[in-house]
Amino acid sequence: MTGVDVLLLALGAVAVGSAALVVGTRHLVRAGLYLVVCLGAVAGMYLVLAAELVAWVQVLIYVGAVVVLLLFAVMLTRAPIGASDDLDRPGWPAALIGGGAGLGLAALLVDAYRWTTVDLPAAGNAERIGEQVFSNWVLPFEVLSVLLLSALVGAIVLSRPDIGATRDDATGDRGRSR
Amino acid sequence: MSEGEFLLVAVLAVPALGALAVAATPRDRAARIVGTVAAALTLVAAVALVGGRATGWSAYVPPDAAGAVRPWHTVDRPWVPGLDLRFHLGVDGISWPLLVLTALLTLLCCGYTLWRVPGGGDGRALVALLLVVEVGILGTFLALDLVLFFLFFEVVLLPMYAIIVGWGGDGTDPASHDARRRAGRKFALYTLFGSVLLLVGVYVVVAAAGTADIVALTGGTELSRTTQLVAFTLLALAFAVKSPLWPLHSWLPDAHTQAPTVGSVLLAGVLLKMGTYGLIRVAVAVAPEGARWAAPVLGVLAVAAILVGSLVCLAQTELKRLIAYSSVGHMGFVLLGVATLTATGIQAALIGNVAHGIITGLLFFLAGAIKDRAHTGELSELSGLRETAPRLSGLLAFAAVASLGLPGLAGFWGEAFAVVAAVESGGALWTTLAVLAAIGGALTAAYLLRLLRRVTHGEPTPVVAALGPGLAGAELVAWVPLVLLALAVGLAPTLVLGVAEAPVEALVGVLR
Amino acid sequence: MSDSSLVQAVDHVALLPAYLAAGTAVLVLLVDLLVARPLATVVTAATGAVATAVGAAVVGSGAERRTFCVGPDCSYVFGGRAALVAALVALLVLGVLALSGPLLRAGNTPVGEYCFLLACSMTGGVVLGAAGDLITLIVAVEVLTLPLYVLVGLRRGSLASAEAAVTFFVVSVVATTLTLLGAALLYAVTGGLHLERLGTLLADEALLDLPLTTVAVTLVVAGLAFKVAAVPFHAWAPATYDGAPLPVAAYLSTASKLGGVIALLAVVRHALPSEVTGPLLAVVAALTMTVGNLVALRQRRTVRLLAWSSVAQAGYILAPLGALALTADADARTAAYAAALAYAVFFVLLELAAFAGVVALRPAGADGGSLDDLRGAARRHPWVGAGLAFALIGLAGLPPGLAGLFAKVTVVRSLLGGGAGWLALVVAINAVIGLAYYLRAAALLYAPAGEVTAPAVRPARAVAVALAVATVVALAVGFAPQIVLDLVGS
Repeated sequence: MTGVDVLLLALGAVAVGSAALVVGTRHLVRAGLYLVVCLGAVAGMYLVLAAELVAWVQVLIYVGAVVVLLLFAVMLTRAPIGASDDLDRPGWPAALIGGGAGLGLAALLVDAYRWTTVDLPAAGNAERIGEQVFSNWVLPFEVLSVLLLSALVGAIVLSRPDIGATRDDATGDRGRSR
Repeated sequence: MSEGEFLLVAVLAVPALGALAVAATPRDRAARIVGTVAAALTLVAAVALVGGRATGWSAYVPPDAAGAVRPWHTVDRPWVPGLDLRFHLGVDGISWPLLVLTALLTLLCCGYTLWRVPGGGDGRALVALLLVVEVGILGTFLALDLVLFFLFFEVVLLPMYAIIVGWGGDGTDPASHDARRRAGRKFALYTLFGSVLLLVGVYVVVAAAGTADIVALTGGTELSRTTQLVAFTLLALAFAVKSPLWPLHSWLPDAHTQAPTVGSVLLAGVLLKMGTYGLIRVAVAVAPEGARWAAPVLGVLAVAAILVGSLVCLAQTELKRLIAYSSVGHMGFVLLGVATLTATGIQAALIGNVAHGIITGLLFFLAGAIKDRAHTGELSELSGLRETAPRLSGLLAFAAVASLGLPGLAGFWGEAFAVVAAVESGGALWTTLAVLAAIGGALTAAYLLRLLRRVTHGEPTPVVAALGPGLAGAELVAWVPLVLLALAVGLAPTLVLGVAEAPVEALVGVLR
Repeated sequence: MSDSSLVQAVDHVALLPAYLAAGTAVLVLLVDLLVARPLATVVTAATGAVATAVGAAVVGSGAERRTFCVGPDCSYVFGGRAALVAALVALLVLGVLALSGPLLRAGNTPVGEYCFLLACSMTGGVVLGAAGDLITLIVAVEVLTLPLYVLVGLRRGSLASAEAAVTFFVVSVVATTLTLLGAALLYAVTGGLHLERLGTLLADEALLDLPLTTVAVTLVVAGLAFKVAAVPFHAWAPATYDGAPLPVAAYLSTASKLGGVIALLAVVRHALPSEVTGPLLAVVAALTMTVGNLVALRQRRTVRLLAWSSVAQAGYILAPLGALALTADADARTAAYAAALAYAVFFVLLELAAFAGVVALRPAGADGGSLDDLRGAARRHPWVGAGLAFALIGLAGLPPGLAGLFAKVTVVRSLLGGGAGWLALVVAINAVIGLAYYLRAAALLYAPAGEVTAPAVRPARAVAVALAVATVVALAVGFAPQIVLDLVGS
């Protein structure tokens, strides 16, 4: 067992443990912070596996943006800061499903690979990923831009009930500002 | 396009275009006249099909073809090659009498609506639907392509449903509306159940043989035994629902009772024949191996239908329901004839088909006339009809006697020869079946005589006492052809058997 | 082109339909901003849809074009079938735009955004038909569905609409996750993402016997089955259809369902081993049609009836794929794929006509209402009523709806040709169950009006035109189904 293996195992334990805490805790804010730990551990695993860019993207987007957004949402909606009992749903079904799916997948993967050794590819840095995305995978990348644009517009439409609501004449005066 | 092809297409195109013309004609009465004219033209075309027969023998059959189906005329055009569907029509001695019967009954029904439109909807739509039903039935009798046969088989379903639901029952009260909707839905679902089995059966055959051509498939030479058994089971079930064969008959009494007069006439007169015709032309012809295998079962069920039908009729108290159940028994004789798989039996089935169409058509016309006048079909309320409406009751007596199979009238030949064919088949089973069928024939006589005693004799009830003796001219015009045909077929069965003899011999030839 | 080169030759002609669709979306946004007239926006979107359809037809009439290739495997394959899908999706968008007339005129819906989202969804559909690898496929499916989350929720002030949107969103995201996980596991097993490459790699017995492969395939199929609302992944559909604005429900049950079917067909046909998918899909198909039909029998609301019936129809679409495992014969397989696609084409036509009929008979901006609201409608509006009845009968698969009849015939034929007789019988029995409720709905249109007096609505012209066109096309392909069979077989 090499050092890399040990590191991976440790990071994995941290990730699973903090994930369990995310769903187990009664403090909304703490759940968010445990999520940071969990996602950070996953980013660490990426790093160990030589996927630099993915690791940094994980940190930037998930740890940086998503969790911060989550915390902002918690604050803006004036959710309780302390322990809240209504977060404490009966956990058995969820634990069963989550544990079952996780263990099942683990068993499958272990069964599939046994003790196969896979050589690590060259480091997954920005250059290699960019090369892939902008040569072989440029089509889905471009189509994704349509997806993001429609998500953006859709989010605006849904969050602004005033858009379209006042348009009762078809002549063109829209009564709204952009 | 030769004359024969033209006539074949015309037989289908005239009523189809007629239906469109009727729907497009704005005025109700004018539309009904248009429809009647179309029906008349169809009859002319159907009758004229027999004309080319002499040349047809040599002109359309290649000399080396020993096929069991030798149509007088054919039309064969590709339609949907991707589904093995060809527009392949043809007429021979088995289908021609049924074609003429269909065209005649539709004409009589259309003419009848000129005089009286059943309550519930406008007459224009009714005539259009009658013509669409006619297209479906004629197409079924003409189709020489399995898939096309299925297609036309399905065409009949919804228009007939609409006729039952839209114009059926008694007047417009909600209870009757519900009753006829139920009856209509039962009819539609049962019949569709039959036709989807037909669809599966058809493609079992097509997938195995690689062709849907009935002419090529007749004799079943290319199909394995298993395929034939499966195909025959599916096809026979499909046609048993339509015919209907006991125990799949339970849609029939409701549908017949609730349908308007013209609907009942078409239902009993020709719609049921699609089942027996299909059994002969498709099921037996395409899967003879399967037919031989299933013949005893079919025979037993047919005899059961005869007995059950007769016994149920003895207990009926409603006029239309009684006639409807009598159809179960009569179709039982037809199916018994088919089940023997002999030339005599199949001939008996064919003439039984035609005779039942004529006589039951007449009976339903008469029952409709009585119900229209008396507004009831209960036998207990109809006694003494002879006193106040002698002509009507006389005609009813004639039709009932024809139906019970009196020698010299049309009903005799089918029933007698079905029994004879069963005896000829030999063996304990078939002899027993023949005896039971003969007992069923006696029971048929019993319930029809009971009907006559209840309806025509006795003291007039208040309802009957109020009836006038007269018959409308339109009614006579509708009934007289049927009366004459019942006599003609009874006295000279060769009208039907003459044309059917050769094709039946050919069919039985490949069955052996 | 060498492997190390970052520049690859892109076949822009092949991409033309996708460009047109995406361009439509952008143009709609610009027109909405600059011209600021709802009519101009809608006309732009409609023109774009027509242009996309024409572009797809023109490009598709030539030889098959491939681009974005890695070696022999390409991410974008625009052949006859892709052109058919692209044109169909574009025309469905056009139809849905026509159906949206009353909704947009009612004034509670932002016209520009509505059209933009529809155009985005159309882009997804166009790319989907040509997708040659799993990533493009999944992204295209997402582009097709994501705008719909928003569109479903666009009935302002309606709790049902908001609920429908959330249900749809959650279910759909879970489905996508499943598909992605499945795709990732497939990549882990094979190291390939292109559909055809996956197909050749998975032909290897050793890989096929791996439990991981089975799980991966199941996950991919299950995720996509969500999108077509196949049992047991169907529960979202009725609530979502009923809560959505009527034109959006029409889009969901036509274009969106078509997208799911195309995605499923693509992976089953090219990538996944039919030994695994065949039995799976056979069971799913049988369950889907049976459950859909049985539940539809009990429905009292129009859109829920159509929703459950479209669940059942998804079963008929999937049925031919169930025969795959049993046949080794390549011809029978091709016939099965073609049959599934042909059924889908017939189905979306009739379904669009049915929704157009319902929209025409309902007040502007209203929901589908209950079946009793349609009582006697054909007596008030003979033509619209006849169109709706025709569509319903066609969905039931009976003459005069020959299109529906031939659709069923195609499926049964392919099943018997593929040796799956039991499934053919299940289809047959289900056709009978289906008739029960279609007939009830159609008969209700002609029933005497009774005491229920629905408001007399004059159908909007655009809706009437959409209904007429859909009905005429359905009639035409009913008499000449070979057209459709040729198109899907190409």
